[in-house]
Order: sequence, then structure tokens, then C-alpha cells
Amino acid sequence: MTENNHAVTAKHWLNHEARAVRFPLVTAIASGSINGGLLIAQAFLLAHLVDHTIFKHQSVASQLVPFAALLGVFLLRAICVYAGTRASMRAGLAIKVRTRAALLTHIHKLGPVWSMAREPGELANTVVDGVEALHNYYAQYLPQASLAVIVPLAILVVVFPIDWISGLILAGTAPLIPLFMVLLGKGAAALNQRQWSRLRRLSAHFLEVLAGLGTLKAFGAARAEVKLVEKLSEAYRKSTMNVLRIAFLSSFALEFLATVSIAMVAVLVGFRLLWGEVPFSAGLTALLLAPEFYLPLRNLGNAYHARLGAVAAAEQIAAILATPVPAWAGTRRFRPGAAFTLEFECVSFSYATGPPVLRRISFEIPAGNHIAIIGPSGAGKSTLLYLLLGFVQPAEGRILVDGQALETLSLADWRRDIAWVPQRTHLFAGTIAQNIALGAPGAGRAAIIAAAEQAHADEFIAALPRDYDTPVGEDGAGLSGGEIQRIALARAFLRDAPLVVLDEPSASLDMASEAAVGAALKTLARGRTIVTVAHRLHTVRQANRIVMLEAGRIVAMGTHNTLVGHEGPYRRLLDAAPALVDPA
Amino acid sequence: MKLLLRLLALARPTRWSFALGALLTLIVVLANVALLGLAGWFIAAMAAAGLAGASINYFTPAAGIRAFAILRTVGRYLERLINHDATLRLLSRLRIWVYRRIEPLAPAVLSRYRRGDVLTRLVADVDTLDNAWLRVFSPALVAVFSTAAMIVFLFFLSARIAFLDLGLLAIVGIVFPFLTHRLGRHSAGRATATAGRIKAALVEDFSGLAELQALGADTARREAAVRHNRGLAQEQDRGLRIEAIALGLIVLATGTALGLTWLLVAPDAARGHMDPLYLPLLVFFVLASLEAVQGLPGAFRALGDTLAAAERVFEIADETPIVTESVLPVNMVENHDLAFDSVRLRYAPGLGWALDGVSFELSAGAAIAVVGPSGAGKSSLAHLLLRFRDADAGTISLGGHAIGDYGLEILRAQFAWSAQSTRLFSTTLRENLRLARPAADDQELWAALDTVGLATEAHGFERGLDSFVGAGGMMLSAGQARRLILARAWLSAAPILLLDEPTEGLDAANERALIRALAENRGQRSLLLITHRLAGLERMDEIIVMDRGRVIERGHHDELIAHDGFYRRMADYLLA
Repeated sequence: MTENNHAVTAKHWLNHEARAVRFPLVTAIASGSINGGLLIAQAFLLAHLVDHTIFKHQSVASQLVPFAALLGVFLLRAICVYAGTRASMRAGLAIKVRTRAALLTHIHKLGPVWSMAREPGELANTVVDGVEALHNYYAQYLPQASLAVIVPLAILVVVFPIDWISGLILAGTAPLIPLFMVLLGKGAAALNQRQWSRLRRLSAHFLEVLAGLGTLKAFGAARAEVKLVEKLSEAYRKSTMNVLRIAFLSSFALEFLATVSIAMVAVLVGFRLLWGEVPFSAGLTALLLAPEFYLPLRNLGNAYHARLGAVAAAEQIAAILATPVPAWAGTRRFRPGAAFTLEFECVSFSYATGPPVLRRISFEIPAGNHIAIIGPSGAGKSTLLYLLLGFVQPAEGRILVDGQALETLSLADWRRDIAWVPQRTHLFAGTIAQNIALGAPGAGRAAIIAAAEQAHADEFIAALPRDYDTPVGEDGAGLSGGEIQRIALARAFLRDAPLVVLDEPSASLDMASEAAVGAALKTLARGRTIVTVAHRLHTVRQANRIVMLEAGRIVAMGTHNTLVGHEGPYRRLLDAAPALVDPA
Repeated sequence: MKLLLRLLALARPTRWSFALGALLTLIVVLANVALLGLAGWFIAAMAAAGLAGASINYFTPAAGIRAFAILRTVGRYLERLINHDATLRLLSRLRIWVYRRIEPLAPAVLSRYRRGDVLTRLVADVDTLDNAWLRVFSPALVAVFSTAAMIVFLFFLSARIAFLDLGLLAIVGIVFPFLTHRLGRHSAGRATATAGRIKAALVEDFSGLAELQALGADTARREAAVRHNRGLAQEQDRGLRIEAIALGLIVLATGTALGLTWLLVAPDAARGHMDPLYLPLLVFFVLASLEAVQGLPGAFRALGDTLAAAERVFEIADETPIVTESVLPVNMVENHDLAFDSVRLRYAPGLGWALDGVSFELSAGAAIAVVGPSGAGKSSLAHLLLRFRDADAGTISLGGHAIGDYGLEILRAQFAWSAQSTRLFSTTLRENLRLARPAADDQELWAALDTVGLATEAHGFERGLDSFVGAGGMMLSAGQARRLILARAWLSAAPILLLDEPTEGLDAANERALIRALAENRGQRSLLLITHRLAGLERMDEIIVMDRGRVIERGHHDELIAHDGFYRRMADYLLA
């Protein structure tokens, strides 16, 4: 899609969402309109008071009724302003709550394969800050856009009968104003697209330079870079000012039109008063209403920035929400009593825009067997695991669980029977205990400790300042890779699932963890079906069957002893590995 | 206050532009009040003259009305241009100032701030500070001076109305914004904190979504996020309600002031104490005078943001560099024998030792590898050599001098460094490579790409050496980016190659070929290879095995493999 199409989709989405907050928006516009009507009444009352005081020489006491009415009008206006502001704020808040919930639901449905391809921080920014940018579109821009039509029209309707010349001046400039607004909008949009993207690039460059300071210093280039920052900023300033000089012209025209019309109303009213062509109160009313005629238009101009920000944010939001979600059709209950067999039957898969990642994969995993999947990076090993975990579904072929197609089973049921130990475990903000119990929220402390013991994690956890209640951060601050790995194993033990899917770390852990993880895995393997993406010769040797993948195809299958026995891809792989004396 | 003064000091070079901008804004505000006040008086005077059949000099006021109208419009246009220009000038100054302050801190002190995107926030904070003048200082200045001018003017017409208007402006411009700010501060603070917590939780959820779904914990996490999101809306709602009340009260205050104006002026006019024609003037004047304080509520709101941003920026900018350059630096490196002697390092006083008594030597021209699992302390060795930080104990010497004796630039020029943390910049392949040797010609660039096995792929790029690599090398595959970083280090003329995990992301066969190419083509250069993988290490003169900050084994590949130790266990890894 082109840039323009994105903007069109975003605007469409913004307007579509407005339906959800129709009630507060209508309330806000109604309050604003009533406020406009009261403004007109206020002008009449003020003009009446001034006229009667100056020219009709009435005493204060005799004008208490219009005076009280004026105060009453201000009171009502205050209420209208409050009510209208509250209603529009509610529209903004409701949209934010609604959009965030929709985004979260959609992102969760799109699943980890989609989210892994994106920067999690940026995604979170879209959900939090991006959605926040919508607020003023609904709370300011939309109500103002209606009021900018309603209030000036109402003023025109009133001014024409009392002083048609002033009415003509206002009416004459009125059609020019939307014209300038469009120009202003176009100018601002051009400014937005060109200059903002340049500004963003400039900020990005500055960020990049700060983040790359270490590199720049190592190459002795840090001190030269400051010149570049200066040069780029200066070039940006010059080009921006060139654009701004033009862009401000349209707002200059708007302002000029408004101010000069007010001046013209004043001067022409003045002369007709001199010639006795209009009554003073009518002239004063017209002059009082003239600034109010332009005020909503000016407010709309101010709200225009909110619109620009909202459209930019809506582009990202609408794009996420428009991404089609792969549906999982299966609902069949799945409660196996014991281990089950798995079978890949001619399974092919490719990601949305890529070449096939898996091509007609067929193999069987008998209950209780240990399968090692090996192959170079990009061979399709991880995809194979994602298929098992239900993150993606085969494009062709089927995965059979005890003879039933996996896609017919309830996904939640199926996942309950899998324990997955990923290569890089994420810890979530919370305590160690909460992290172990992530997949089993009801688990008691005793069960958690038992799982940690089985994972050989108990010892290092006990040495932590607050043992199981020690808080850990997202990056597992203070824990080594091997220790985090053992927490993941504890999760798997606590889950006690018949199928374990294991993504072995591709690099060695520290010396202490190596032994502990090895021992824990041995315990975990007992009585369970294990599918391992293996990186260790040791693991591969122990497997009941090795499945070797290359470019999405199975190139070798069998046990270590059968495969090593004759010339083939497996033998070539071993030959490339570090020279190792065979301990067998 | 101190922060504000410091901010103002930073804006010093652009102070005349800003002053001019403020002066123009002042003119714009006053022109509007004058326009409407004069217009009110003018029509009343014309009506009075019409009724009395008297003649009147209408040229002067009519011309005045037109003049004020034009003054206001032109003033507004110029004010916008000047303020924007000054803001952009200030932005470039602020950035350079921040850069100069932060440059000596990188990367060691900055790494303390790594969490929570501090650099991203720093860039945003600089933008906030840049806007401080327009959002905070200018409205305040304009409010004070325009109010003063208007009150002085009113004082000559009616002292009571002058005080009345002053009161109105004080209530609308100071009391309401202050109260709104005070009453809303609590919920605003809580809303910001909630938004931050939601964001942090979402980053966790999105990066760990696979595990959450596999563990069936995703629904609970999502529901929690939705719940916090509602809580955020409630917090924001509380603050917004106060704002809405303030807006209503402003209308009420304006009405009261107008009513009082009439109540005070009408009897005076009736009794002849005051020219009755001043009544419409005063009515318009009081209404229009509100524009003077229009920017203050926004300034109050922006003040908090500005102070918070200033505090964060100054906090980082005021950090003292942990590495200082020798006062009388040695500027000649006589030979390139390198030695670590009982070096200890820890990243913070409470933490364990990242390096715990590490000793080894790299004589000029030799090749050694430091291997061990991640977290063993290998990369710390490179950071110490480049003096990104200094050791807590022990010495590192180069050519007979402690590395601290050399000038920083001279020292760093001895190393060709490549690491995961070295960055590619969002420019072309050529410019990225030339960072290491600005004078390199294309032939040399291609030779470097060829050594790391990237030449064939780079020839395939549509624009060859002029291809853009994207921010952080985003447009390249991870493996290509690693090799480009390596090629850059390779291109450097530095006599010691300091390569940290150069083969990450390559498969075993390519890894072996790359190590061979590096070892064979390095000429006289020393090689310190840091890796957690073992392919190709047979070619190294010595291998140092590290675990948890200590050297646990050392020797040649064959010796280490023959011995049943950690190196042997590491060799058990089949492939990447």
C-alpha cells in the first residue's frame, strides 16, 4: 500500500470508530450548540444593557431584569461548557479503552509468530502512546469540526435580520474560511508528511549516534560526529523554515480575514450609526458577535494538530487490526490418559510472504520416544516446533495426535498437554515462584518447590536474598543463562505434561549449570515423549530417532549409530564439528 | 527554580530571537485588545454623534482600527516564523550540548541506564526542553507584560475596572491553572505511572507471547492489561473532570467580571463621573483581555513535563565519566605485546566479580582465543582494553606501559574491534566500512568484504557499496550484519584485531572457513578472538577457557580436547 492509502484507511477507521462514541459526541455537539445560542443571547443582553445605559439613560435599578438574565446566561453557559467538555472527554476515554482492548485481543490472536517479527517496545508504544494520540481527535477535533459549522451559521442567521451589511461581511468571508482551512490542512499535511518524517529521521539519527557512541569512539570518530549532528540540524532548520514560510501563509490569510472582517464590521457599523441607519443596540450586537463568528474556526485550526497526530497513530493501529487472524477451528475435547503418538503427514508450511519453510515433512513419533531434530539454522526446525505448539497451522498435510487431526482439537486442551522449554526463556516481572507457576496459577508453594528441586534449581534459588520471593525482571537481572534455563525446566516439571518440546540452548551454559540441566533433563525425559531441537552431540546420540532437516526437507532420519555408519549429510555434519575423540 | 535557570542558560545563544518572538506575541495580544476596545468606543461615539447631529473626526479611529487589525495579523505571522526558527536553532544547540556531555560517558556509564530505553527518552526529553521556551517561558512573559500594559491603560480610565480586570486575569490565568494543576497532579502522576506499568507489562507480554500461549497464561495476562487500561482511563478521567470544571468556572468568572464592569460603570456614567462612551470600550476590553493569559494553563501543564525532562537530561549529563585520560599521556606505542595481570572487574559494588584475577599475555603478532559460555566475562576483556571502563584491580599493559598511560585516542587506535554491541549506522555499506578507514578506496573495501565472505552477496545488492544498510543494519540479515561489522574492523589499520564473537549466526562450515581466512590473512596483526564456539580454534597459538570470571583451562586445542574438562564438554556442541 502506498502512503496515501494508509492515510485513507486510517481516516476511514477513525470515522468508523466514531460510531462507537456517537452518544457522547452528539452530547458534546449539542452542548456546544446550546452554548453558541447562549452566546448570541449574551450579545443581545450586553448590547441592550449598554444601549440603555448610554443612550436611553436608564438607571441601574430599572435594568435589573436584563442584568440578572445576563448573569443567568453566563451560568447556563458555564454548565454547557462543563457538560460539553465532559462529554467529549468521555468520548476520548471510551475510544482509548475500546481500542486498546481491541488491539490486545487482536495481537494475541495474531500470535507469537507475528509478534516475534516486530519490536515489542514499538508494539507496546503503539498500544499505549499511539492510542493516547487518538484522544484529542474525538475529544476536540470531531466536536469542533461540527461546531465550526453550526455556531457561525447560527450567528449569521441572527445577524442578517438585525444588520444585513455586517451579515454580508461575515457571510462573504465565511466560504473563504473553509477554503483556507483546506489549504491550511493541505499545507499542514504536506508539512506533516515531509517535514515530520525528516524530523523523525533527524531524531533517529541523533538517537543512533548516541546509541553508537561506543563504536564511534572505538574508531576514533566520536568527535567528528558532532559536526554531522550540527550540519544535519542546520540543514533541517533551513528546509523547514522554507516550508513554514509558505505553510504559515494560509493561517496568516485565515487570521487576516477574521481580523480585517471584524475591523470592517466595526467601521461600517460606525458610519451607519453616524448616518442613523441602524440602531445602536443592533450595531453593538453585530460587533460583539463578529469575533465569536470566527472563534470556532480558529479552535478547529488548533485542533487540527490533534487530527494529524491521530491519523498518524491510526495508520499503525488500523494496520494491525486489519491483519487477518489465522483461525483455529478445532474444538474437540482432548484428554489423553497417558502418552500419545504424533505423526507428521506430508506437512508443508510457509510464512506469509516467504518461500516454503517446510516441504512435505512426514515422520512419526511413537509415544514415549525421544526425537532429536537437527539441521543448520533456517532449516525449519523452529517452525516444526511452532506447528506442534499450534502457533501456526500446516499449509498442506496434517499433524495427527493418536490418529486425530491436530486442527480438530481444542487448542487450549492440546497445549495443556505440552511443556515447552524454549531456547531463550523469558522471565516476567514478579517473583521466582510466580515465574515458575506461570502455567499453573493454582499451584501451591510445595508444588513449586518440588518442581524447582526436580529442575535442580532449588539450590541457587535458596541462595537468593529472598529465595522464592526474590523479584526478577524481564531480563532475569542477576541470573545466569543456565539458571534461567533451570527456571524454565521447573515450569515444565510443574506442568507435568506428557509431551515435552525442547529447544536446546545453542551455546554452552556455565560449568555449574551444564551438569544441573543435564541431570534435570534426564528426570524430565522419564515416561514422556520428547521432541528436542538439538545442538548437542550428547542429546543426539541418546535420541530414539534423529530427524535431520535441510532447507525444509528431511535429508536423513534414523538413530545415531545407523546414520553415522554410512556416508551422508549426518556424517558430513559430524566431520565439520570440532575434532572430538569418540568416547564410545 | 535552579533547573529553570539552567534551562534558560542553555537557551542563551537564541535569547534575542526569543525575545523578539515574545515582543511580537505581546504586540499581537495588545493589538487585539486595542482593536476591540477602540471598535467599541468608535461605534458608541459615532452613534452619539449621529444622534446629536454633531461632526466627528472619524478618520483617526477608523484608521486605528484598520492599523491594529493589520498589526495583529502581520505580528502573528512574524512571531510564528521567528519562534519556530529560534526553536529549531535551539534544538541543534541542545543536541550538541547533550552529545558533548554524553560522549565521555559512553558506553560504560550509559549502560547503567540501558533499561527502559533511556536513550530514546533522552532524545524525546531534548525535544521537550526545546519546546520549553514556546510552551512555558514565552506565555508567562507575555502574560505578565501584556497584563501590566492593559492594567496601566485601564487605570487611566477607571481604577476600579483596572483592579477588576486584574482580578479576573489573576483568577483565570493563575488561580484556576494552579488549582487545576494541584488537584489534578495526583491523578496525573498516577496515570503516568499506570501508563508506564502497562507499557512495561506489554513489552514483556509481546516478547514472551510464545511462552505465555504455550503455558496457557496469555488470557490472564491480557485480561490484566485490559483491567489496568480501564484503571488508567479512570485516573485520567479524574484529572479531566477538574479541567472541565475549570473551563466552566472561567466562563462564570468572565460573566461575573462583565456584570461587575457594568454595575460599576453604569452609575458613574449616569452621574456624569465618567464618559458613558467608555462603557462599550471597557466591555470589549475586559472580554478581549483574557487572551493575555490564554497560554498560562498550558504553561502550567508544560512546566511539569519540562522540569521532569530537564531533571532526567541533567541527571545523565552531570554524570562523571568513569574513565579519565592521563594528564601527561604517552603518545607512542613502542610494541604491541599485551598482558593482563591479575585483573579484576565488577560492574557495581554489590555485584559479583565479572573478572576475577585474569592473567594472560598476547605477544605481538600472535593469535589467541578466549572461549567460555556467555556471562563468563569475555566481552569485559575487550571493554577494558578499549578503556570503556577501568579494572578494579590488576594491570593491563601494552608495549610496557599500563594502558591508562596512553592518550585515549592513541590507545583505541591500536585495536580493530568488532562485537555484537558495535553498531552499523543507517547509511551505505561504503560509509559504514569507511568509519574504520576514511581514506579506503573501493578495492580495499571489496577486499575486506571478500575476507569475511560477504563480497559475493554485496555484489548481488542492487546498488553495491552504495546500498543502504538501514538503522542498525536492519536491511541486512543478521549474519550479513555481523560480517559487515567484522569487515569494518578488518579494514582498520590497527595492529591488534579484537574480535568478539565474529562468527555468531554462521553455520559450522562457514564459521570454520571464516576463522581460517582471518587467521591466514591477518599478516603481522595480533588476534584476540573472543568466542563461545570452537570451530577453527586448532589454528590458535593458545586458547584461554573462562567460566564465571576466571581462567579455568588454557592451552592448545589438541591439549584441551585430550583432557576431559570444560573445553571438551563445550566441544560436545554439534553445530550452531
